[in-house]
Amino acid sequence: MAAHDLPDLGTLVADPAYAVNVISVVSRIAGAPDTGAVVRLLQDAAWGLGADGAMFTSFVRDDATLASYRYLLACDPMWALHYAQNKSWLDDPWLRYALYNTEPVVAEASTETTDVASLGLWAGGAATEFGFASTLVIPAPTAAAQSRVGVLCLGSAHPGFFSGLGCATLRCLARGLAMELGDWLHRQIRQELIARTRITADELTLLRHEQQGHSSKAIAAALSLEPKTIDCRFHRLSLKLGTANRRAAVRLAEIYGLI
Amino acid sequence: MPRKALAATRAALRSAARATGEASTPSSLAKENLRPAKPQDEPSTRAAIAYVRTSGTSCALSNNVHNKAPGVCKHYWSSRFVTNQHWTRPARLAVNSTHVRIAVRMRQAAARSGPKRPAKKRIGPMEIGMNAEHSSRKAVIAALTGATDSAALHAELGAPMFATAGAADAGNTWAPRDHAAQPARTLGPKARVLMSRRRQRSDVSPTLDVAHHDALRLTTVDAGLSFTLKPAEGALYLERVQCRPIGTRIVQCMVFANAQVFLRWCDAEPLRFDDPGLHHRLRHQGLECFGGGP
Repeated sequence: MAAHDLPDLGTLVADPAYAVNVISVVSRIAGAPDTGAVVRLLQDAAWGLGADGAMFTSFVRDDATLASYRYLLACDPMWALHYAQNKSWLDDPWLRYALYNTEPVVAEASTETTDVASLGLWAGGAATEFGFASTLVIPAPTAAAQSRVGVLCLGSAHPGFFSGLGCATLRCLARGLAMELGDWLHRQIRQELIARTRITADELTLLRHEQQGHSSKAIAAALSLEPKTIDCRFHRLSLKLGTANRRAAVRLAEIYGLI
Repeated sequence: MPRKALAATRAALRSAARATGEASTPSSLAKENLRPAKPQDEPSTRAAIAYVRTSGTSCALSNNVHNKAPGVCKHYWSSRFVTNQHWTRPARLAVNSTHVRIAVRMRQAAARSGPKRPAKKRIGPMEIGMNAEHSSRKAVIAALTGATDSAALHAELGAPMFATAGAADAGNTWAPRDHAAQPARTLGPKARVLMSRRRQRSDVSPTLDVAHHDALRLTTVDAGLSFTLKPAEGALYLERVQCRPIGTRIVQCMVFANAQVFLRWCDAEPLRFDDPGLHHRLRHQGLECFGGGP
């Protein structure tokens, strides 16, 4: 992937068309038909912002035994291989930062705390080789807090690129980009879950009852069914969703936005 | 009661007490309401069989013995008289060194603490703040705002969180649940194994190219790794999915702008060692999307 040779961030931001171009790309994300189109839009937005590459990570903790990581990579593909081979998701400081923070941070400039300092160390190590010598980490928080979170990482091959003038404008635009990507990906994984499990409207009704704390007897009375029938339907629903019990099913449905 | 049996039981208890370093005298045995065993039950081992009679001290003792050393008096708890809180008839009790040690400790503890107090209600994290029951939150808000009027309280409180009007009318149907914003509840060992088996069953699929619209999917035999290829306006969209039955599912989505970048990525992909056949197909299919070659 060709790196863009740009003078500095301040010069880029001074251009009146800078924000307009980025916003026009970001606004197209919501209507993107598939993941490939979103990756290309991410690439365009990253280049428009002055970055050489970008990576958006969506993390979903399904339950205690399963966590899903989804990466949109608009950077050197070798970084993806390096990331997978080294199991970097287990100790990704960028994602860890996003789990507990909402403020964008320049990775290499942060040395105040241990956690944030590790962002810079990570970027200064392996990530530098793949175009993340300077990295801006932008968390995309969600209503599910630490169970579902997104993080956008903008990378530049030029050290200190994101520490220069114009970073404030870049942060505003990057936040919008991160949230749009997070929302699009959330819709996508929800659609995938619905298609995979073939969940029905009746089952969603059951989940809503359970969400409100109703017992099997109360649900059965509301739906004019036997309590045993409700238990049986919940069991089938748990099997469909791959959860251990009905409580976990409700939690999963909330995380994926089904109810 | 035969004196011989009484002497044998007391001797056994003394030897057990000596072994544990605790003092045990005939007077202490009398306090415990221990009575000698029947001659036919005289054990050949160090343990002795004794009778226990109904009394508050003995009841407290046996409860705590059961809690602290359940294996010791397992058969003891299986007898019918235990179903009644107040013992109504004598029963057999295996006395060994553990019993004697615990008996002494519990007697001292009972003397210190006096009558048993009711257990305190523990407040879990689900009962605090907005997760608390409606009545609890009502009490808290009443205390904070100083509102005593029922209408003012309702205006302050509103409807219970996540509850519908029907649920509120139905009374106390509130139940603790797993909130999405909180970490997932840990599964027990059996549930964990069960989940692992379920996921293994659902994930394993044969090596097949599944045509999904215009995309091509290549999967390893164990379904641990799969690739989805799709042409995208002169470029190649590739989705690499790595999943395990328990643990993580990693999906990497990327777009290759030209064949050179794709080949460089292919040559570094570890699949070339794990499944050379599938790797060859991946490389071949990917190049076809670029028109057959770099």
